[in-house]
Amino acid sequence: MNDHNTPLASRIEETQEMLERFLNDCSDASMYHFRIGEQLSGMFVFFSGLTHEDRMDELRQEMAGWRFHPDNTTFQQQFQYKITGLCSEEISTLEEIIDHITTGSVILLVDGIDRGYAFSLAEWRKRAIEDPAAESVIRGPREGFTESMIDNRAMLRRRLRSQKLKMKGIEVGRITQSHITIAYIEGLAAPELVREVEDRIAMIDIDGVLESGTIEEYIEDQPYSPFPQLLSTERPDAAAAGLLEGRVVILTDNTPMALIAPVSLFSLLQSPEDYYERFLIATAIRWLRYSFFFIALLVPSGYVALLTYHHEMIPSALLLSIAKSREAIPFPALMEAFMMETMFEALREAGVRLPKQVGAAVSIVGALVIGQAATSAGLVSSPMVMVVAITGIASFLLPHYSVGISIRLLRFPMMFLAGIFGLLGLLMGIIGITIHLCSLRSFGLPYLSPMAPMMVGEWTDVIMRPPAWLPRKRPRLTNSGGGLRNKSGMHVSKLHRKQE
Amino acid sequence: MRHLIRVIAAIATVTLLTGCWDRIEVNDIAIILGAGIDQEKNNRVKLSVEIFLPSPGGNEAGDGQEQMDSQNKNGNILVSSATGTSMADAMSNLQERLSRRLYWGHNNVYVFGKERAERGFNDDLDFFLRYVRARERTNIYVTQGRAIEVMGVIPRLDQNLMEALTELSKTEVSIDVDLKKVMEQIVETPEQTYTVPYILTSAVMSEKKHLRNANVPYFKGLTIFKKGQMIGSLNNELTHGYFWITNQIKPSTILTATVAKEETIAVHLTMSKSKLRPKIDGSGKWTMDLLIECEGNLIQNASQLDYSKPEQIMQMEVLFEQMIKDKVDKSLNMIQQKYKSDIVGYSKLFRRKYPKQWAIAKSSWSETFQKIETNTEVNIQIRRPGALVKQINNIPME
Repeated sequence: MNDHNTPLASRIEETQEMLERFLNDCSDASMYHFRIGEQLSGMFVFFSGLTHEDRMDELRQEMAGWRFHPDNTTFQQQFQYKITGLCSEEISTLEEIIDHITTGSVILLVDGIDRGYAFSLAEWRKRAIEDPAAESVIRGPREGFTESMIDNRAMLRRRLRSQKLKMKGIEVGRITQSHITIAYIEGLAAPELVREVEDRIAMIDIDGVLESGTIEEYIEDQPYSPFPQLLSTERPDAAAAGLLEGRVVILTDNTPMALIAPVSLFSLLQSPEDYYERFLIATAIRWLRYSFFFIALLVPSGYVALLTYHHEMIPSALLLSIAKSREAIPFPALMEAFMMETMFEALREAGVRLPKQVGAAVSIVGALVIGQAATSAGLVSSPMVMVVAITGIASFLLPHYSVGISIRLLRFPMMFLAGIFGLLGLLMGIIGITIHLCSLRSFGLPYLSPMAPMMVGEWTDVIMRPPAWLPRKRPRLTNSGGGLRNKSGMHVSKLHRKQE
Repeated sequence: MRHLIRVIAAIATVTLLTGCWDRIEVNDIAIILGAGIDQEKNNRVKLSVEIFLPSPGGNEAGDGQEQMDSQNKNGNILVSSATGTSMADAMSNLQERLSRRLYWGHNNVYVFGKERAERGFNDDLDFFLRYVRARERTNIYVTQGRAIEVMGVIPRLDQNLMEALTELSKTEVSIDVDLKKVMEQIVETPEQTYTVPYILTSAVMSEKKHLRNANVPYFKGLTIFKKGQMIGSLNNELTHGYFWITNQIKPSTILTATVAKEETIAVHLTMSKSKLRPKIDGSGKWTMDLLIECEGNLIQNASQLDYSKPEQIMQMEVLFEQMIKDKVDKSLNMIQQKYKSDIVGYSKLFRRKYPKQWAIAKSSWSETFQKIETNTEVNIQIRRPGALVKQINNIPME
């Protein structure tokens, strides 16, 4: 942002005047005068709240005790000699001062020197590392990313203790100057992929980036698609797993949401916990999730289609009981479904927004309104309540909120197609979505891989959750190296026997 | 972008043009649960249908539990009828009287009155097979009296007549006969002979009688059709014999044989297989070998015979074999001599084995069929005595 370079004046009053002009109306900017030894006067410039003020005070006290002796060098030269070991950087322009103090550094200006000295004493109040609220697991680490980039990077580094884990920094946002870190593992992530991510992020030209969502919208391949093409997670273990698969993780400062790219639809349907549970159970849960993916998308529209056009397809006994409960309902099935689904979405949204204390009340009212009162009042039939409830639960079964919400959105056009064309419309919708998914790419990775294009070798991780000891190739499209993720491909008990 | 919006708008217009022209809500249909067809005077046909009355269940709070008393159940069905010169005509007359569209998709029962069946119901079958909304897998029955009376019968155990009849078709005394099966028989047999389950008159079936005499089944054997007309019927006992011949005996059947006066034994069948082998010998005599093999367990022994003695088991088996043989012969006699219609499927077997001779005999199959001699051989094995080996009367003192 600061293209001009205004050199610092050597007289401290002059610099202060310049700074005050720069920082007018910045009431949180502080300038703090003190003496260095007996001969020199200095000034700290910083933003209060961003710096460790105790440490700054210690520094001041130490410098106050410095003694300068009149000899053939000036006091300033003696001071410079002493300070070089202490400060982190020497700066010479006013703009550099601003850059430093906004990140929390303290600048020391000394009378008679046209330079400033930066001390990185950045420290501010931040949230502690907590259980990730949106992605909680039963088994697995309990810590989630926080708003602090430093902590987030440390959490990744702690998991991947190798110099191969690279973290490149970029600043995005003309005013916000947000720090973005692109993390990848050298040798696993394809260099082209890393370059592509870097290029795309570097091209972002925007006033401010407040959350990773902005980055996501800028760099995803198909901005009009309802499907997320980057995976956002607040779990460091999920991010680390992504890195190990040769993916790139994008961390954004001031948000706990990290982005993982590229992703396919199937990786969006997986939860990190799948890999912590026993594999048989995890496999069963995966199947459950896949089937509920379709249930969430198709059940309301299927119900509408059957009830409006294809009564033959409902078992006789069921049709009779549906007919019985629908007898007094004044609306067509499509209207009924649309009303209930909208109501459900409204309740869900209200539940997210409302404070915790009110949330419980809303859910009680919601359950009563949807479940009981609506049927008693004859507005909706009870099978429809069932359908809406099943769909609602199904969409929350998907581990990533972003997928669940896109499925929930697609439900509505599907319902209208079913209401207008019956099962033919439903099929048209499915075909449309399939075509869209087939053409979708996330950073060059086909969205439906490994199903389309077909890569049978990678199906094991889609159809089931393979046991950890099974030989597993690294995903083909994302990595550059290839090779196996585990060497032996045998269970420990067999290895043991082999050694004997 | 503008282009895209135009395309979307165009597509949207197309969908709006069609509207929902063929949309039929569940509230707009009259679900037919059963249809009865009767003969009327002046060669008119009367169609009566059992229509499901959806009584709204949602007006009370928490409607989940449905009331199970029969009062409620009885109120669920409406029987309506209309006459016409043909089935199609009768249906359109019926439709005029109903505010909802007649919906055939879930109908599973056609009941023909005896009179209509005797007149011949090929015209009606033509309608049911041609009309797209009617299913081919619908069961057909013939009733002793008038079909419209059967429509009004409310069974106690099942929800409606449709369910009661289809479930009962699966028991020992009956078979499932649907339109598809009738069609197959019509195509395959030289004289279009087939059987259709015969059900009782409504007076016998109605509730009060039923309560007093619960073991009266709905079924009264089979009716025999020849060239689209009903020519007679087999009672339950003869039907049993017919089942032995055609390998349709169900493995849950219980057989009772009389040993001596007031002494019976009963066997529960676990397996049964009937095999027919056609033969034409040198002299041009047509015969059929029938081999019946079955297995069963003893479930009651009210006789002096002792299962623990091998020679007495043999004795039991012989009794059963004789009984089955008698039944089969009786049925065959009836079918061959009285009705002269090949409902046992001999023609198919002869056609397969002796196509040339069959082609000659085809034109006068009734006569040929009448003369076919059947040699029945029955082989039953009583495998297990049940939990009690000895008879109670004979248990020795400890």
